[in-house]
Amino acid sequence: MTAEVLLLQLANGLSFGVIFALIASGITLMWGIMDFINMAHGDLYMLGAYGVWLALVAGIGSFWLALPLAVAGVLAIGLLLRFTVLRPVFGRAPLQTLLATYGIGLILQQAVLAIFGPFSKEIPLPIAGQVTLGPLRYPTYRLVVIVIGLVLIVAAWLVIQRSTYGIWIRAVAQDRTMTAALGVPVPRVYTVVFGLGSALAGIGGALAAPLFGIGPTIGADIILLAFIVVMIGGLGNYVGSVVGGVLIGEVIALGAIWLRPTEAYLVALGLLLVLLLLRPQGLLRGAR
Amino acid sequence: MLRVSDLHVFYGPSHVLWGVSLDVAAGAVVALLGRNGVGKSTTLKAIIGLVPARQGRVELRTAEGWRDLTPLPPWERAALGIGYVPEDRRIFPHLTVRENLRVGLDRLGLPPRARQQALERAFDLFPALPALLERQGRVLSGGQQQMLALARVLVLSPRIILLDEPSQGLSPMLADSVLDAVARLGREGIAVLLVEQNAVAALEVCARAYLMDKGTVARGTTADALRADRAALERTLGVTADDLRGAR
Repeated sequence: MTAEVLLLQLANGLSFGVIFALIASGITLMWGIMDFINMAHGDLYMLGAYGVWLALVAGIGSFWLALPLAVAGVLAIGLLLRFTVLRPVFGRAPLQTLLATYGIGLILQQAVLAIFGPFSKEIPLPIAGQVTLGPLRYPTYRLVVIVIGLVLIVAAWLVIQRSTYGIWIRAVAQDRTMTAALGVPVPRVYTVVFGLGSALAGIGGALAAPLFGIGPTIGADIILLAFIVVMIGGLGNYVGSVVGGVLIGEVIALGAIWLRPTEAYLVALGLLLVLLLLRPQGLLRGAR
Repeated sequence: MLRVSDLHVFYGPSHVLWGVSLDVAAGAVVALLGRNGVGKSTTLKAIIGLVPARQGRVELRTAEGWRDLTPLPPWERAALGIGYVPEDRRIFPHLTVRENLRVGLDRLGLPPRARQQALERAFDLFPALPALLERQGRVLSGGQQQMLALARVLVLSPRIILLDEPSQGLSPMLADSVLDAVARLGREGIAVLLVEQNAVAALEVCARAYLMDKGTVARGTTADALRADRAALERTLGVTADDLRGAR
């Protein structure tokens, strides 16, 4: 193995990791703040990928125009779910939320399967070509994914740290009743969290679409791993979910140097299980 | 300005409030007294809307006349001018003091100057707070938490504050200064409904008092009349004549 291969896989791990982080951060916010276990979250990621594909097929000429359209679509679907079928589920026991959202996820997958068929779709890389980074020649689009992903992660973090809704989100996570008694409309905070999480998952799916292909089960494939990432990062811990997401991306990418992809996946899962045993409260604790 | 009538509250199957009725006039400091477990804290929670009323009403006098709050969620009641300071203060442990203050204040959407004035009104009452703004809630002492809990509702310019056991767990000196602050709120025209274990101290700062017993209001009277009625004090609160003399 050469240093170039190692660098290449580190960069690949990062591009996979930021997409992971975009999904996991939404899950951790919903779970930590609303006690809402959203098993359908991966399917919003899947819809983001289908969204760009659909927009391109429908004649939107540029991926960079299709992307915001797809994200807007996923955001609209996420909010629609929040105000309709998910509305009676908020505040219920975890098992009920889990089953209800799992069911919604299945419906979304089956709907996509029924409409678009079982075969995976492909879209061309929006940016061909490679850039030279020191000793490394790296696909430009992957680099762009890393940059966009990191910018979004930092932007969402700033929103949570600085903005009014960010303070409300953290306040609700710490003491929901007291936040309500101070005049904060808690359901509206839930809507913002749900919208933010849905949009991040949609962006993740849209960015990943040219790299990993598009199929009805891409969300379901990623959701369990994303939940473990959330546990590793510490429930409700935004930074933890980002660190966990990047970590899992790197493990899978580095594992692929020596192992077959499924084996690398197994190694990643095994590592996560060991981490969970060693630190059941998550890597970073209490930094909600 | 606040009127509670025939309020019934259940915790699961157990009936804890049996028709509580009371009035608080604008700018009045009113004490709600009684032994442990008679439903004082539950009454405050039912007024802000944290526990649902099975029967009865909570009404607030607004510019448009009496408004029935009973169907409203807590945040709408707070927006109408009710501040709630719970027994255990409930400071957000992982927010800074500044962020704790912002939780309610940001909801008002004030222009910067009015916002600064709201903060300064609270700092005026608790001059120690500005030095603590960047501290996390969880590192504050009990007295600092109590100041912050009060300041957190004061910045909202409430018309009435529901104050649950403000002196609990504080040293006698701190407890005194908190009760002084309560008296000052009354003078500034903010009504206070005060639940206090220390009945003698509470009677010092309030004009009226309600005695609660077994989930109902047994009696409502002026503080002076209650202080003079030793039999009632001893029966419902366990306060003796010696306690009253000690307070003078």
